[in-house]
Amino acid sequence: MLDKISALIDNQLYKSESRSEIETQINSDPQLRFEYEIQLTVKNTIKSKCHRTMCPAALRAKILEGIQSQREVREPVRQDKPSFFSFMRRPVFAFPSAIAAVLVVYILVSSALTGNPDLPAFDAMAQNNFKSILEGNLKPQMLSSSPAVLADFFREKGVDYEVHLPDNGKWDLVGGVVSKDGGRNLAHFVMKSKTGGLIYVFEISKKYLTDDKVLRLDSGKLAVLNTGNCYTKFVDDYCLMVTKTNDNYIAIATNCDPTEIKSYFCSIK
Amino acid sequence: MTNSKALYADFEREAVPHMDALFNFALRMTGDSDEANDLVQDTYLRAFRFFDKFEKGTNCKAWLFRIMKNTYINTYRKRTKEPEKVDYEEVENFYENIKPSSTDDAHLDKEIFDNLLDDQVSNAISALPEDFRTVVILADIEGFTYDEIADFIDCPVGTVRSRLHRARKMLFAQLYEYAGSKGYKISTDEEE
Repeated sequence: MLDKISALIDNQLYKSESRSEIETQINSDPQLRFEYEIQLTVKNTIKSKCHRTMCPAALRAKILEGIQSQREVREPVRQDKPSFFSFMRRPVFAFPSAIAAVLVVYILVSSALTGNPDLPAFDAMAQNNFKSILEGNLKPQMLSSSPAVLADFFREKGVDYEVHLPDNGKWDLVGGVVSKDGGRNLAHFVMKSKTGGLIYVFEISKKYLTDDKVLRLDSGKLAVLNTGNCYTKFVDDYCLMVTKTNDNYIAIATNCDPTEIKSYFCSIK
Repeated sequence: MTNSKALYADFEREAVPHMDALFNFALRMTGDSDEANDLVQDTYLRAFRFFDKFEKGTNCKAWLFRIMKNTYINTYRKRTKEPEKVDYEEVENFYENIKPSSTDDAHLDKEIFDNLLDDQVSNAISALPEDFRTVVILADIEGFTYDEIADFIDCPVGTVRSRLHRARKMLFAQLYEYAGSKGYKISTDEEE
């Protein structure tokens, strides 16, 4: 009977329940009447005292901008890019069994600079490399699922900053690559999700963007990062994220659900 | 109009108007404006990404809330610090003490609740355990039907009814305490 009181007040009784019957019961029983008064009082109090907090204008603008950028990239990319699922069907992407250790990142990155007076964009490089992985043109130099082994590999290859290699059991490391740009050694690594998705991470020292100017990131994205947020862009079947830690910038491209990945990388200090 | 343009136009018309409702819910569930900002942003980006799967003509607000719920469960709830919650056992004991003994006593001095501050009511809602807070926000602030709430929380309508009933009782106990701290007192005929 008590549950019916709420339903009566909210006008949500079942068709089989008679309003007048319930009202009669309430009016003839002091305990039920008391329950009814409580429910009604609280409902009215909430109604009169709890006002909806409006979405801040800045957030609204940011969301609409994010949606707009998703929309802009949707159609053109979809036309000429194989889907994630078609990529997954290709045997070349059985990473754990892949033995080939050809450094293609180096060639890709270097060729991107050739004849181009502008610095390569950090996030665009991440996107290109991820696409190359999907297309089978990019394989790890070092295949290992051990964070310690990959950390050693990066050090040995001249990466002179700390690389944040996850060791949380959510994703399996596949391997790493070191590329060279402007005389600096840059770390890339690849992980697999438990569902078979791919996570590509490109991590560089902050000074390569700010001081040494080896790479660039446009001011809009920097502004997003400087407010403490992650820059996120959905491109067809994958998601690109850029974040910064105290010392590094990290670009992540993935065809997995980005929620947990974002949560992990965007909370690194 | 291209597919992308049409999709965006539909999204703008169907989903964007619910941003205030989603933000309000996010804020009340996380209790933190930064978390709420991220939650709403993630929800909308995901919603747009999957908007071609949204069945036109169905309830877009409920669809958005479901996306937000999943995002919240997967990410935000894990890192949100929950304030100390109301204990329902204590609430039941409280009722034993104040409930009336005869029909004549069965009234409440409702006006004392009018003197409560808006923040006190919001704080009382925040102090509810999550399951109870959810139904109160959806029913009493967002105006969802019981069917919509049941769909949202993945429970039968009967569960919605009982949770809502208990949630309001817990709120009453909390608000009564606030009223008492301001010097107001709910009287019964027995005391007069």
